[in-house]
Amino acid sequence: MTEQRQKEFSELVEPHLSSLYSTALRMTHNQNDAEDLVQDTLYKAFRALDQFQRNTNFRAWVFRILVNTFITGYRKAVKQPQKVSYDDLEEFFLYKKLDDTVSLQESSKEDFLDNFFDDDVKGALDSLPYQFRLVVLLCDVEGFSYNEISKIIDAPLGTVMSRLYRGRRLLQRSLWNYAKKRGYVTDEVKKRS
Amino acid sequence: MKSKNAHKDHFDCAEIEELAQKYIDGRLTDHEDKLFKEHLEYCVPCDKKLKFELQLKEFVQLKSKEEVPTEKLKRKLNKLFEELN
Ligand SMILES: [Zn+2]
Repeated sequence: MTEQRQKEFSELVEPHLSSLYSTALRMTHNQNDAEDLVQDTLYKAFRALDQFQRNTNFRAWVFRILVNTFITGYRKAVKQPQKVSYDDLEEFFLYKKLDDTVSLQESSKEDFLDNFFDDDVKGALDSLPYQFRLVVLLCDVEGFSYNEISKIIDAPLGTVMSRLYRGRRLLQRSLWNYAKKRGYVTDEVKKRS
Repeated sequence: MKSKNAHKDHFDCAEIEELAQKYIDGRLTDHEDKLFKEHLEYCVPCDKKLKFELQLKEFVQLKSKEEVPTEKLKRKLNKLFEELN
């Protein structure tokens, strides 16, 4: 009986291990905590397996446990960004910045993203306040739908959308700051003729 | 839920900006989606912006891939089972 249960659980969870770990790593910022967080999640999920309704969405179910485990056990230990300003965060932030600066030709805007290393992007993600980071990760990296995210983070759809849209803009600003720091762009504004 | 855009027969650039994120996530109604795409066909600036946003979303997913210690995690899982037995 136990063995069968373990086998079933392994089969359910193994396809999602790498997603769980990646998300845990982006949330905790370090490998040890990420591994512990995944382990705690697996432990809770296995114990709660009877509550999981077969043929429903296991991936969303186990992510919900991951998120709750993070919030109750790990969040406090993670350094949050000091103060995040939401001013000047307009739609198409990055595109408009690229449009306005001297260092890039019109033709290279599409190639601009090729400048970035993986670590720049991870660093940019890591710099977001965790509520925003989480929703961006769930949607843009893990591919969950708005409805799934709403259940995973236990928040209304409107909250999911506002955090996602704001989170994406914060991410764009953060990428812009990385680009400046790395010298891919300058802040010098084009003279309009 | 009836969309507030149901009566519209075209979108202007401001409306495109307002609905851009939903478009990217495939969350527009059929009618909104139709008007949105029509706008992108004739408005080059909006078309470029949306292409960039779509490219960016893909880019973030691609670049945030992690080296996952799968074997280690599987071992942890098995250890967990042993402890529970
Ligand atoms: Zn337009």
